[in-house]
Amino acid sequence: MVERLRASGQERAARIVSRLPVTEGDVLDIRHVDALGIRVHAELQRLAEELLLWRRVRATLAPLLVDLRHRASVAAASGESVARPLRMVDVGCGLGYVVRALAARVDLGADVELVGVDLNPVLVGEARRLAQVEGLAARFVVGDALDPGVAVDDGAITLVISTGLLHHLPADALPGFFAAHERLGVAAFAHWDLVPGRVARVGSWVFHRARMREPVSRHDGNLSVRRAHDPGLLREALESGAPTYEIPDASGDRWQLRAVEVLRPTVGVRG
Amino acid sequence: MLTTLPAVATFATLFVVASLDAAFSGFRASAGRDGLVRHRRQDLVASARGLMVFGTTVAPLPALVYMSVAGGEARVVDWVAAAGAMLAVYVPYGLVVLAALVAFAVLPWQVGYLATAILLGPLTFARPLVAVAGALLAWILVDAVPVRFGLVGAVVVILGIEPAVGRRWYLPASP
Repeated sequence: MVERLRASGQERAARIVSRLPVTEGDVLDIRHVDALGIRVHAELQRLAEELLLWRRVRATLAPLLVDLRHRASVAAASGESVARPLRMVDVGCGLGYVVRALAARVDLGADVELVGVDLNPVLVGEARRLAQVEGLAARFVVGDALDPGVAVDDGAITLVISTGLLHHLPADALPGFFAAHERLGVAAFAHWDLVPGRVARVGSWVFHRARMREPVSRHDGNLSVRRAHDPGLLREALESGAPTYEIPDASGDRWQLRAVEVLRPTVGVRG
Repeated sequence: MLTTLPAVATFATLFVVASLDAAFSGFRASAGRDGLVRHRRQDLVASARGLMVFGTTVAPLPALVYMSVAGGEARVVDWVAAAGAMLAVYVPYGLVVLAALVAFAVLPWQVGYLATAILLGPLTFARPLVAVAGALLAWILVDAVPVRFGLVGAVVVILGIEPAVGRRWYLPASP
């Protein structure tokens, strides 16, 4: 892996990886890699706390939930059976910070089930442990949240969110990502991600130097900004992948200074 | 002269500022470690540890000041001037940090976000420079060896509390 990183010009990453413990045969020690993954995500959680991520999520989801409850009431009034509770699914949840923070405050309402999904079983295991330690009503699942049967049972009563996931997807995979929401009939989605640009690059560098201890955290944090997708590209991917979804205005209120807004949601509501 | 009101007020203010900084250093040493969402108790414990490390390391300082004055190597006005110079740098910085913290805690989340993004994060990043700047100003104004020795020690203590607390209490367990 070290040689592969060097060959692709990632000298700093190669240095970081070369310092990780290995087992016989120069294979990275999986126990240390797993522990490092948890530490890195705990540091990311610290950033999320300081930047009030859960409040930002709540502010965007609140009107979406009002709409969802209204639709459910209308459906119930017309005789359709409507599944309860409503569900919020966090895709690529990592340690499930957003899910756990919302669960700690019951902020979205007692009628909303909170589910976090991640491909990484180590992170999901740690998320479950943390939720149990703090007695939080949240569920965590290993898998791809947008695969049928993993977390979205009834799209009509489900909101799908993510924070900091989209920049991990290549640009040509974005239409397919949004299309998966349409296939599942998800009621609405909101995916927060970094906004590329000078402010984000400088801010990311400052915050990662000031707050992150792990070299991996510092290195990957700054790479994430460089990988972030342009909001215009995200909008095109949404319109292409999920053409039946409406895109509400998520430009924010009078407090929002776009110059320092480095995290914005891509929101879609089923039409 | 050590007990005149201006001298006492200057030293007391510097002690309060340094204590607050030590508490925040302890808090920062523990932040982002355990993944909990409810961690107020842990934050208070970490802050207390920062204060404890600070208290332990500055305990010899009064004796140093007394001995330097009694031995004629420095005057009380030198120590007061050095403390005043440090406060001239640290107090404005500290007031901005406190104001940002109040905004973060009390005002709407959008303002709290700005307080973090524009002030708290960058000010934490700049903190080592601020610490050195205060000591440097005092160094320039006061030409007394014991005082300058104390200034170097002060910077070492200011910048050393967070890593010391981290290493003593918050090192990650080996898998």
